[in-house]
Amino acid sequence: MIVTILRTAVLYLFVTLAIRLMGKRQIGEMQPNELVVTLLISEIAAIPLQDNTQPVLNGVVAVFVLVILEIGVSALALKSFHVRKFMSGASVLLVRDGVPDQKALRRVRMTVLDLIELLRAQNVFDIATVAFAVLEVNGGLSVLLKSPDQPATARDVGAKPESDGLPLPVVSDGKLVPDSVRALQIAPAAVEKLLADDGLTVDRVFLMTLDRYGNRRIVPKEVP
Amino acid sequence: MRRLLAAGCLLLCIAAACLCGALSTRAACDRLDDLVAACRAACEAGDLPRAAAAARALEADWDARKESLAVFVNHGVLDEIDAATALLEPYAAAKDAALYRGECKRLQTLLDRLRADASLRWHSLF
Repeated sequence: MIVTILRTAVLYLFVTLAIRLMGKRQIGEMQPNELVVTLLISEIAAIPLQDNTQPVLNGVVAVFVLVILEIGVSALALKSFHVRKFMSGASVLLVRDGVPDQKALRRVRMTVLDLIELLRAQNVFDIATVAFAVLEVNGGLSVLLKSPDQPATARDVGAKPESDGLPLPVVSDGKLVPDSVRALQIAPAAVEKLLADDGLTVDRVFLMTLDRYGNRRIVPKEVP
Repeated sequence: MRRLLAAGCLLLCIAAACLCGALSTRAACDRLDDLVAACRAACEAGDLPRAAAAARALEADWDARKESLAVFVNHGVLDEIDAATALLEPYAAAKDAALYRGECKRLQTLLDRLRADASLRWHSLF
């Protein structure tokens, strides 16, 4: 039993390292080759976990070979359009000027009802309002509405809204968040002073967000 | 670029691990082949006390190597070899030459399988 626990811990560390090595893109929306690698990694890692007669090294080597291939192919795809197209495929224009491209729909084996469903998922309920709809290589649909159907922006209505700063969490559960403090280019003492103005100290704050314009929101810790 | 560098380092580590595994497995198989041959020769000569001594030497050598081989080789194969080496001496002590010869033959087959698993062959790719 202890062997199983240790083998699981070892594989967990190596698979986590492997996923980290592949980068953040892997965790979000995946390209076809990334999906294949992720599926294979989970399968391969499970083999030494289930079968104690298999050396852990076999699983680790297989996982890392996949990671190396993935990194190598990604690097090649950055340099070569052909490699990128071969590994990930290409986007397909499905709707142009409100009219579905029947040939393209057949090519991607999608019915017009599937297309309408995907459009609805993008809050587009009338295909006639679509200027372009593109099926991306990760399976998502990108939609550009015709100009008259696009929502009005602040520029369209001539409004001049105040600039928004990105609120960053500078205090989390009674501790300063050094990355946020660094990103806002302020000293930790300045955060403490802001809190002191509200009669608080860092250790009594559950959450404090701050943006570059000094706008802050403070949630004090609840007293148990 | 850093990711590529990490991938390159990993590739080197994997190559080193594979090479180390192949070399240590081959070295173990070669040495055990010699010891099994000595066991068979003693048995064929009808010298069962010498066969028992050869079996003890074989078992001792195997015991010294099996743990390091476990890093690279399926543990099931190692367990089979372990069992075969453990049986030789009792067979010699019981003066059962036929069983002794049979176990030597089985051990030789297992070593051949181990060697084949560690080497790159066209048919093992499929």
